[in-house]
Amino acid sequence: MTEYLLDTCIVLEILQGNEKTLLWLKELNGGDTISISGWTALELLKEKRSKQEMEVCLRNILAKSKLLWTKPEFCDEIPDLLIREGDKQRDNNLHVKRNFIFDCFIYKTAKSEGTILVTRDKGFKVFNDIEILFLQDNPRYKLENLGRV
Amino acid sequence: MKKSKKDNSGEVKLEVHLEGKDCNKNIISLDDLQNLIAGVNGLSKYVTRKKLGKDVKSRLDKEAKEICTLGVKDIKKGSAILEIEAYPDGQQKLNREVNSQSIMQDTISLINEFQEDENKIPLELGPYFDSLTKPLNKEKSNLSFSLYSAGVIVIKSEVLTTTSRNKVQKILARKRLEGGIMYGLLKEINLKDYSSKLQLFNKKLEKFYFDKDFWEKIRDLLQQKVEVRFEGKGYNKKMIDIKILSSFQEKQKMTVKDLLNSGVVGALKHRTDIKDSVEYSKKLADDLLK
Repeated sequence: MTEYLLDTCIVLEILQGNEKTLLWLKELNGGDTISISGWTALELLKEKRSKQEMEVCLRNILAKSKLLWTKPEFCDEIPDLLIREGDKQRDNNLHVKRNFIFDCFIYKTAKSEGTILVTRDKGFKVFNDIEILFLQDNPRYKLENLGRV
Repeated sequence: MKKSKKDNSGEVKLEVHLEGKDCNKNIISLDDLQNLIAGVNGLSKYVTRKKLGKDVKSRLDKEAKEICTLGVKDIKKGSAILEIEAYPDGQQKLNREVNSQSIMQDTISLINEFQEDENKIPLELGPYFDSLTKPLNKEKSNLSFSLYSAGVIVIKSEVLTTTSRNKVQKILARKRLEGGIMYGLLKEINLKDYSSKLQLFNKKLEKFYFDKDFWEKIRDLLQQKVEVRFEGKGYNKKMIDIKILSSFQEKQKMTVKDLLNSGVVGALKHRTDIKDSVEYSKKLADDLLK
């Protein structure tokens, strides 16, 4: 049994019924576990246009599964990570990109739970001490319309 | 009928054309009439609420009535035209943006939006469009609306046909998404209104209605820890399944199979505007920290 933590982009693709992402999901062992982090849930709740539907989807997911959060001792490492990697992740105003802060939390969640992180976001390539599955790197699951990945 | 003609736009008349239903014999059946009126009334009240910028329904009903009351004026035999007149009925101060004509005009625009793309229609309007299109139950039946002000046509709707019924089903399918599962102690069963109350872990009581036939299933579960599967939301939650739990164990991680069967796969299929999930998720993260 393998444990996977889905990044927000992958959850969105599943909700959209993306064929390539569902192909990956269906090819897993039926008993493999799938989790999402509390950070992803918070991000999804910011969705405005499909707010009600998103809430229902999250409720249905939560009925089956708990959310994963970063363990406190791993949270302590995040400021250091932001200082170390933050320089490469600045916006035009030289501020550390907000989404990078969330990437750090999701990465630390995967690390603290020992799960494989599944994403298409190449931003996660800066983290090299956990197993990350980049679906975009596999021609079988690659999405053609993903512009900047 | 009490009327106060304060609206400067003159007589506002909505003509509802229902065709292809052997109308020569039936004019408009009482069932169709009831559904058409419920649909138009519901949609126009929604438009009024949006125009007034108010979400409190009880307060709105009074104000809406004062601004725009609908009444059946005439039913023409032969061509099956239902005439509905819109007029202000009360002391509510009117303005250029919110008056009988503009409300009915926007109601027709809403019907046209529905006909163009049902995904643009808010879920709460599903039942009104359901009522409105129920008369379209014969192959060649069609429905259209024309708005007149002082005898001059203002706006005409697209023609709704039997395919419009399929659009409604899609909206209702989205609406059925509302719901989920709750866990708690079954504290009350009320056979007067076929409802039950579930005490959640925080001691809050949640009310669920259930079908009469459900009584057999629920009666022995009083004071038991249960899992309730339901549809709807707020005060309109309907229990669709209930099962006893041995304990409120900590939730486990979900399996791939659980996820595929959870009903969330493809739930946002209509969101074709999200082309790049990575960029979109970054935007959500950005919004969260703003």
